[in-house]
Amino acid sequence: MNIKSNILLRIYLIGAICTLFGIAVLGKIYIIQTEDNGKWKTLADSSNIKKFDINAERGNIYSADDKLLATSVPYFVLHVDFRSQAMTQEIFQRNVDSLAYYMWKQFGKLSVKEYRQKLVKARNKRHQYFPLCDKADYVLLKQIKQWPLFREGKYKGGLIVEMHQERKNPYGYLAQRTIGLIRNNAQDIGLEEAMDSLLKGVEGSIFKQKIAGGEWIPVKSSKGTEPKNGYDIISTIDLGLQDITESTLLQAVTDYQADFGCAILMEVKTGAIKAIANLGKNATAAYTENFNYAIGLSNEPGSVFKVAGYLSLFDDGYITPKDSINTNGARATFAGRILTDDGHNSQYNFLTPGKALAISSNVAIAKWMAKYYSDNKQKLYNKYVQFGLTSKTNVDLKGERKPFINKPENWSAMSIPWMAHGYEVKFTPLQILTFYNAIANKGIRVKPYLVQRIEDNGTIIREYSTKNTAHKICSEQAADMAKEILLRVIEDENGTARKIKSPYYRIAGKTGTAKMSEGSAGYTNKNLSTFVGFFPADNPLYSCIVVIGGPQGLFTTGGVVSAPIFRTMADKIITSNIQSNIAINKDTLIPNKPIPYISSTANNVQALMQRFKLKFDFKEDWEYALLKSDSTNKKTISKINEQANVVPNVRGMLLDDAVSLLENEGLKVIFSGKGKVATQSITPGSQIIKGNSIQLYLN
Amino acid sequence: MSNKRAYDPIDSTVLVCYIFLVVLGIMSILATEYNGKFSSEFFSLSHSYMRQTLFAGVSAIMFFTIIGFDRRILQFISYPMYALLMILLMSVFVLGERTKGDQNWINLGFFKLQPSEFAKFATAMALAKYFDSPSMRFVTRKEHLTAYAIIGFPLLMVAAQGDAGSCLVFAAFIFVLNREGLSDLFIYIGLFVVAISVLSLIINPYIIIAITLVLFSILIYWNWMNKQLVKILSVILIGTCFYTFSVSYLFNNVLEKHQRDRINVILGKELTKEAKRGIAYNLNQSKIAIGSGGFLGKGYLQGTQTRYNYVPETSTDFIFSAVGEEWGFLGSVVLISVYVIMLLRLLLLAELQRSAYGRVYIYSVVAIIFMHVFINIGMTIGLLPVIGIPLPFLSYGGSSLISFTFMIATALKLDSERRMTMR
Repeated sequence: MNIKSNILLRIYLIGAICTLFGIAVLGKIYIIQTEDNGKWKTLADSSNIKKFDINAERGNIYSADDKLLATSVPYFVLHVDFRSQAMTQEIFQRNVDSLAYYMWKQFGKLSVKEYRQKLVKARNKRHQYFPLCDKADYVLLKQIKQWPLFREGKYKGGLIVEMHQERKNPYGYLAQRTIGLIRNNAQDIGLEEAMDSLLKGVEGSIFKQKIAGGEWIPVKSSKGTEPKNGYDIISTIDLGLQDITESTLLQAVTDYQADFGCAILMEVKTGAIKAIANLGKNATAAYTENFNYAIGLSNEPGSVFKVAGYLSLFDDGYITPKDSINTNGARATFAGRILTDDGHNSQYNFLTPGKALAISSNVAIAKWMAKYYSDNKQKLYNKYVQFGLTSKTNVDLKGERKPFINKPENWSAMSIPWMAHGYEVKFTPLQILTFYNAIANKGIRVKPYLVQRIEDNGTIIREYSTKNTAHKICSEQAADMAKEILLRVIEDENGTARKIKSPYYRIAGKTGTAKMSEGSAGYTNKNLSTFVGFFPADNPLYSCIVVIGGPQGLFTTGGVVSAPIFRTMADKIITSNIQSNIAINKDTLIPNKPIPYISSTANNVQALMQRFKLKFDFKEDWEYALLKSDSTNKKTISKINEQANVVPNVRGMLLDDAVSLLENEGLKVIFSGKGKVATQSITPGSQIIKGNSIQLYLN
Repeated sequence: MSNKRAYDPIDSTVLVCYIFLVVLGIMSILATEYNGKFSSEFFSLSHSYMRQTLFAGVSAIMFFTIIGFDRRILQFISYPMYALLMILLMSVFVLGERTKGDQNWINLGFFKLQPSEFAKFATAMALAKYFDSPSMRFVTRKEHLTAYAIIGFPLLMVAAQGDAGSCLVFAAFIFVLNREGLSDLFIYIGLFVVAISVLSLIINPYIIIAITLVLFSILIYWNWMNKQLVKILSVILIGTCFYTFSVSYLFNNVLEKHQRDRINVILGKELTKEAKRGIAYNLNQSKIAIGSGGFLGKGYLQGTQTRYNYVPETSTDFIFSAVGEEWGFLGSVVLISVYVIMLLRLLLLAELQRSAYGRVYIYSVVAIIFMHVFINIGMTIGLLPVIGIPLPFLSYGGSSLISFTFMIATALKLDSERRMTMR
């Protein structure tokens, strides 16, 4: 073979191998890029773009007197990523000593040396999620961002900030069970639970794309959705009345070392629950709002149920308060079973309804009921239905127990007389109160409610109206008769609640003492002492029930234990600023009350004026306005920020308004808290120095 | 003398290809880091693309320096340079830093030197110098052994450092030796060994042996009269049987774990958890990037996979995935075409050389660049196991860019002297 062709052959050989490889490479690229293109594209998009939720701000719960009962406060959980690529060993070494010092100064749980050891250990292990601080508020976060290491920047410092929201009840345990709790590891309760769908708002979403360094940036082309913040709930709870109710109850349960106590105060005309207190003894023998007894405790009511029998008898026209019945020395036999009265009632033979109720005679009501309804069980049952006693109150809370009344076909021969004095039936305190409230309200039953208004940033979304729920359960005369005999309980010389008679106003009500049942385990030895009634009886404003479970002492009947608590509450309520509390028609009354200054955008002030039908000398072109009332309750309005270069007064404003106003003036805003601006760090009227920062505390 | 081209001091085709590749390299590295915002930070040397631009500048100076050298100086320094690089290669064992299991860096403080990159260049020069001696015929055993030693020494060094990529590149010198007279048998045997290795990892060894037996029986039967060939075939047959059985042993005991993983990924075998997160992830991300590019690509600076660091080491070993994603199949074809044109042109120039030095040297350069391109692109598309080896002129890295510039500049210098003498 000659040299030349040999060499040529070899070049061809090499060329052929290269070509083969080349075809393989190009073929594979072709397959990947064109044939499989769709598959890879899908994979690319899915790993690349992700939907992120934006949490909506949870709405606040306000009291009827505009106090903040529950609100969300942001806090920050801080971690350090020691694996951050930008955090070089040099940066870490330079900062670790001073960082340990700052940690000791702020947290102080360990020594500087120990903090340093922890940091070095975490760094050596390249801990990606080193816990730094489990709860920092905004101000602390700002400070920590300036600490050594972290001030090097987001990547070099490795600080990971996660924002969380925490629910706060500024008034502590007051009505806590009813306002409710939002909990991560337990069932939510109260209004927070029941109104959750309104409070929580609608989560928004945003599409983000991952870029270098593992950071996610929003995608410009796809918009996502804005979060819709939750509605605010204005409850019927009046903080002043709640305070009276809760503190009185607390004193009482503590005095009696009871297992628990419950008190509800309801506005007679509307059914608005103005106060609701539920105190139970916890493991450390302290009293806390641990269970909503008002809706969750269903027990035999005892004597307080007798009035249902009398109301039925009156409404059906069988008897009047003038009739009487022979109780044979408080002794009667029904289907072979003897029924007696407790105590001293054996001295009586003939009793009128008033006297019978006043001394809480079991025999009297049992005999009357047996006499008129034994042959017509269905009629009695229908009466209970008509009184609303067979259905839930449907108050705005979850967890209400259903009342228990047997169907008439299941009634035994003893059922009517025993139900008559409050056995074989079960009600919650709120259900009993609702029934008494109807008597106070001339036979009109209104649904109890806790939410009077739902607002979206000040705009009313929904307003509760009693009209839709009010219905007549008996004739007005029957209700009046019932009220008349209820007054006897307090005013009769032998009345079981005669001790709470007040010289200043009249109370109508009924005592009750029942054994506490423990479900299928039967009865306990403990009493459930109740007093339920309304005041002032001549023109009832509030109905109220006080239930004390398991009071200790010699005498633990409703008359001894609960009635005085009722009286104390009623006294305090009647005497404390009655004018402002008897605000039933608030639309006309509120403008006459002193209002705190409100400063906000002109639009908001305008809306406020319309809502309360106020008239001011208001100019359309004002951007911000200040509305205030002086000591003589004269209201004035003025334009804010008329002088340039002066720090405006932003107190009372919403945060957005305040920030836009202040930042337009060249100030930097640092804020903490939620709600409206409560204080500002630079006094209004001071000269503005551009670039200075102003701190706002919101409340 | 009327041919104007003959006056060109250097070959413009190769030069244009070179510049094209370096510029595309910087652009692609920029594409992997560009965050969509342009600021004064853009020109900061903390960015790889700015450092690569700096390396390109250094390369340009190197280029002209080498062009300015006398050919005799290049020939004169061949052996000393080879000696120096071999010492540096050995010193890596003492001074080196490990990255990803490979120990092949020397940290000079301002620059991380990778001696293996420069060793390829020095070996090409030394080999060329050896073949340039007037008495060299490449027939005696001594001549063969010396040539093998020149290539084998650095090959063993990089193999010991765990640098499989460079190892394969040195193995590519077999093409050069083949051109100079080494029997084709070596290439056939080489290809045969590769084929058997791959097959025995996929298929049951007994099947391979059965097929080999049948094939060789037919071959031996046909060539029964040629006793010499029968002897060789019989040796190969027996060798194959032994080798087939030892492949799995070698695979499991000689190769390191990360190397096994890389091969398993390509073969589609069951992977360890670590490999799934590591190597398989890298490869899959690379394929996603290239695959999502489609026929026309997403457009320059529009890539998402490579730009947002989905593909690990995009700017170095996986730079091709950036090209594939942003320029699509069309861009890939153009890129590969430029390499092919450059290599074919160099091959032509090699054959035109009148000295053995020039021919062997340029051949070596072709073999080195071809191996780099083939392995690198092959691994980014999942055709070959992932072997850390840069794509010539494109991948980020000073050692790589500067050493390839040395190679090209020297090749063009040798060629330009040919032109000068022709004139």
